[in-house]
Amino acid sequence: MKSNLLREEQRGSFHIFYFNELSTTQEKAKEFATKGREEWTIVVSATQTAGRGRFHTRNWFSPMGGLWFSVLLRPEINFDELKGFSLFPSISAAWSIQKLTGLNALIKWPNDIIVGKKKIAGTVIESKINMRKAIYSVVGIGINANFLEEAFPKHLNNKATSLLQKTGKEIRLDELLVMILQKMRTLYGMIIRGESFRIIEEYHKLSDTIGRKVKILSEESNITGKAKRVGENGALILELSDGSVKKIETCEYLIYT
Amino acid sequence: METTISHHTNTTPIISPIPGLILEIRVNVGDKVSQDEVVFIIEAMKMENDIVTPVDGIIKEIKVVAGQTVEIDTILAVIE
Repeated sequence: MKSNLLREEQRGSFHIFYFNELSTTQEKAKEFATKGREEWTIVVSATQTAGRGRFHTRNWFSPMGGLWFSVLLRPEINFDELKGFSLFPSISAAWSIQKLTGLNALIKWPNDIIVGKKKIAGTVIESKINMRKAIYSVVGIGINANFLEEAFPKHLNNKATSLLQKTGKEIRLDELLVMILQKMRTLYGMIIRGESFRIIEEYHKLSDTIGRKVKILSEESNITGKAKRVGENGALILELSDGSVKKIETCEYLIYT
Repeated sequence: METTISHHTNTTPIISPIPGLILEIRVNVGDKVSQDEVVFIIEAMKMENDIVTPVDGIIKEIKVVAGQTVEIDTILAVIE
């Protein structure tokens, strides 16, 4: 893996490593995890050569000017007790973008952050689990920040946007990073204390999906219904046309109808 | 301390720590595995989870298939 460490710094309880270029910040953070680095070790890279979203199949365009980082966590409680864990990265990103830029950044279930109809940020969580406990979890967040839509490859035309495109101003990436990290730490504390209801409350406030009629596309079937709420494990609760309720835990794509 | 359930036959089950979808099975019956080696990948709660073996041993039995949905505590495989 190509890695060019630019600097490392301690900001409160965050130990941040800044790289010029990585294949992915996720892989570097997992490497750090394996080497025994402590919780809240942060890996930031100016660019990623192989940025990706969920399940390694979705590429994430990661040029200079974006905020690409991963956070190493070592949850002390059993993995199945981490209620709200899948929700807290996207809440932290959307909330911070709103605070810093004034943009109406919202979350499209499960973990896309959008402005208008276009994606502006995404999150991913990868964990290594032995029996009931995570050896580590690595939370990855990518934000299209200081570059314009014209920089995106053609297949992302009309699908992705950036903070610069929407605000006309460059933002300070380190300011956004620290804001997100502080929000993550607050929410993570709630998760560890078992206060998942507060996480769900915050998610609902920032959700673009709740209340909408949606179609869930998966390999097995397509389901249409009204998005009612998310459950504490991050599942989307749909009300179907016959009044029944369906819990959606996995999906390939969600589209608004 | 990690929980290891041992039976009289000296076998150890690998259990699913969460409900989810088996994305990938990285071993076959008869394979030798080392502690902390990734043997299953489960998608759960919108996250990707590498499930590792808690002990060294040989895969005696695999009880799930890729694409299957599992509940918490489902025995995924048995190591001898």
